[in-house]
Amino acid sequence: MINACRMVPAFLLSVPAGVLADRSDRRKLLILLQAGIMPSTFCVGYLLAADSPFWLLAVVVTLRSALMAVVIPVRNSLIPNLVPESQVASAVAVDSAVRNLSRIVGPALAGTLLAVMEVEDVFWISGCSIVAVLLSLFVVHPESNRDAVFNNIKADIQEAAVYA
Amino acid sequence: MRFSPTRFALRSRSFGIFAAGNLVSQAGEWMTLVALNWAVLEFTGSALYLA
Repeated sequence: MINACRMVPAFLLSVPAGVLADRSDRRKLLILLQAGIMPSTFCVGYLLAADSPFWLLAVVVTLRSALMAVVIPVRNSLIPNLVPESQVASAVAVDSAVRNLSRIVGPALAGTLLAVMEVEDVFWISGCSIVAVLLSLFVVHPESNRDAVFNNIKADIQEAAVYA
Repeated sequence: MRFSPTRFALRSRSFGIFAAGNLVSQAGEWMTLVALNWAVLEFTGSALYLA
């Protein structure tokens, strides 16, 4: 149930999130989304600590993964905007390395922490880790607005279908 | 294409900062997932709730 609550919004929102990524200020949108994800992480930790009913936890996890579903395409489309055109291929490669490295480090760290502390404490720490990306977003200046499009929404969805 | 240092994206300051921030926060995101699955299984003991 809990993983269905995570995956279903991610699936349903992937196309609208891509359309949104195409037509918004990606940096500002990411700041807003991450600022919403951080309290929702703390909220999940609180609900676990407070022995809340399962349905309430499921609701918060669903909302949180809806935000996360939007973050991913927006983040992916921000990356080419941060580098000059000649570095785009390298940026995609480095980002992929970062993604896989975090996938190794994160669960390993979580396993270690779960062995020595309560599960809700792990949520406090992982919630705080969002500060890192928020700080980086405040510092970063996109070099371009490349690939931003302002068609009508229907044309944007058709474009997504063409690439799929 | 030969490797050329000017094409290396980490030379761009903005991208380097964003990549570092992403590394920390995405590791945190994976921590959240592991902890969430662990907590649900521990508190409910039910595979159905975990699915």
